[in-house]
Amino acid sequence: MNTYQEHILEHYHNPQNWGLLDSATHNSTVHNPTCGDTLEFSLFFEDGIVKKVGWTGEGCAISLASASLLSGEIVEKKEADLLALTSEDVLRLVNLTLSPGRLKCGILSLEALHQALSTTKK
Amino acid sequence: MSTSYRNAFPFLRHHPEVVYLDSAATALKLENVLEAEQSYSLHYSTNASRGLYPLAEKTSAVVEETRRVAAQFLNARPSEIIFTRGTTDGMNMLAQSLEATLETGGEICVGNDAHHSLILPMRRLAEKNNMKMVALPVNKEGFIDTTEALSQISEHTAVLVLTLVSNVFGVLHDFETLIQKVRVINPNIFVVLDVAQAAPHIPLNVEKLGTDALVFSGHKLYGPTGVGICYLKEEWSKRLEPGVFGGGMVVDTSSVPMQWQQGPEKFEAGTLPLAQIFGLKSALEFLQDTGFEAIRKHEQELLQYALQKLSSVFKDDIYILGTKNLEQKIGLLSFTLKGVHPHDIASFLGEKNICVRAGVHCASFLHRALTIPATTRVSFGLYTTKQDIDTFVSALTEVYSQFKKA
Repeated sequence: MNTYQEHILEHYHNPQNWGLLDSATHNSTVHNPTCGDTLEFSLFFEDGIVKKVGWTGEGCAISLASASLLSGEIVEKKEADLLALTSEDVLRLVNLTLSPGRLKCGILSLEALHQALSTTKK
Repeated sequence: MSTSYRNAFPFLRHHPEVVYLDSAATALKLENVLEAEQSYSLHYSTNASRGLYPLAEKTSAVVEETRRVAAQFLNARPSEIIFTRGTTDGMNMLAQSLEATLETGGEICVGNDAHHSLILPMRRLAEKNNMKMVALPVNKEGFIDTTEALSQISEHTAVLVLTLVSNVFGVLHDFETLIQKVRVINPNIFVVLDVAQAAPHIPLNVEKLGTDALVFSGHKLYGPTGVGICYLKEEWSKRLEPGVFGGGMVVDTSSVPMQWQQGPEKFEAGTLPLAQIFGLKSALEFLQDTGFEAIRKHEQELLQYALQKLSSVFKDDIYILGTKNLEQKIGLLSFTLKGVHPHDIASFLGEKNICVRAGVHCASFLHRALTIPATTRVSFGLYTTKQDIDTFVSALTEVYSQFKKA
């Protein structure tokens, strides 16, 4: 199976929600030390619902495409629903069968999201 | 040369579609290595240095013959050759022995290009024995800065760990003079060389190198996984306490303190990886029969070819780490390619049966020092051909084009 299907490269070249929010209620930075992939997520919550999301990152196409795809799914969602998201949900979004060596790339975005949700407003 | 030697590697007969460019991670296995391993199981199959029956004595004889072959390979004495499970095992074994022997305090100097198998056991030793870790910097060409290194050595330095050939840069160090100067500053220092990447490519002479210990793995020189060699100079073999305990390394358990075996057996607790030792013998003999002059000639031709192709195709979009001086490199190239992450390169090429390595290659300290998150690495073996390089460059061009923004 060709990992680098068109949708992955499309999200890699033209990521959705690219750029951190000026005023965010939740932030996170996650890093995969084995390959250097880094993602930063920023969320704006209002009345317990995500109204805006922005992210940046540096890394492989899988990690960045995954972040782009995930960011497109979380606006208007409740915190509890986002916390319930699993690796399998994210991998379904990515729509690829990833080898064990690339799984971390595919789910780094979920780690970024969950870490952001665990922060509190400063 | 590579065409004739390809026949010696059965993997390539079974998998002709594979372009294997990850020999630095592990090399393909020689047919006579596989035969030797199988011979152990079919015709020996006993433990060594245990039984008193003829079959056991035959096994012991092959083990000791392998020890002699390894000694010859290094210009060492057989009594200085310890069988291990590999480089990592050898370094951990040395670290445990140093922990049991050295006084607390003092410093451990380790080159910044060191593999995790060197740095992590030394960090553990430093923690256990209240020692200070000192990192020796590496310049952009991939070499340890000798002046800087010597400035870090003092009477407080207990251990110095150096990598003869880095698994990231692939550059060949000449540490002879550095080690001589180190011993003038501190005659009591224990010097260890990692030659895991060097051993398949260049002749090694422990007297010339001036080291007290060195470690390498069988599987990187076309031999089996699960076996390696630690050379330990006789004076240190006598001085170091064992750090791993079990059968075969103790003479008298009733004496206080217990009386250990003398010689390499002191550091060989438990049943040795016997089938693998049989295989290792074949691998070492193969390298000696082939001759390092021929090995170097082959890989330098490939290096030159690869460097020329990569530079001509990718120009300034490719950054190849380390010196380009062929005399100072083994057949190993690590690089970054603009616009494509190493993981994407490795995955894309992998789907075309081209095997390359991506990431930090268990050298995260080096990558952090270089501020490079990850690199792609190709490494050659005796079986590598110019056609392999053509196939690799063609696929690399394809992934580069796909990832380049329109």
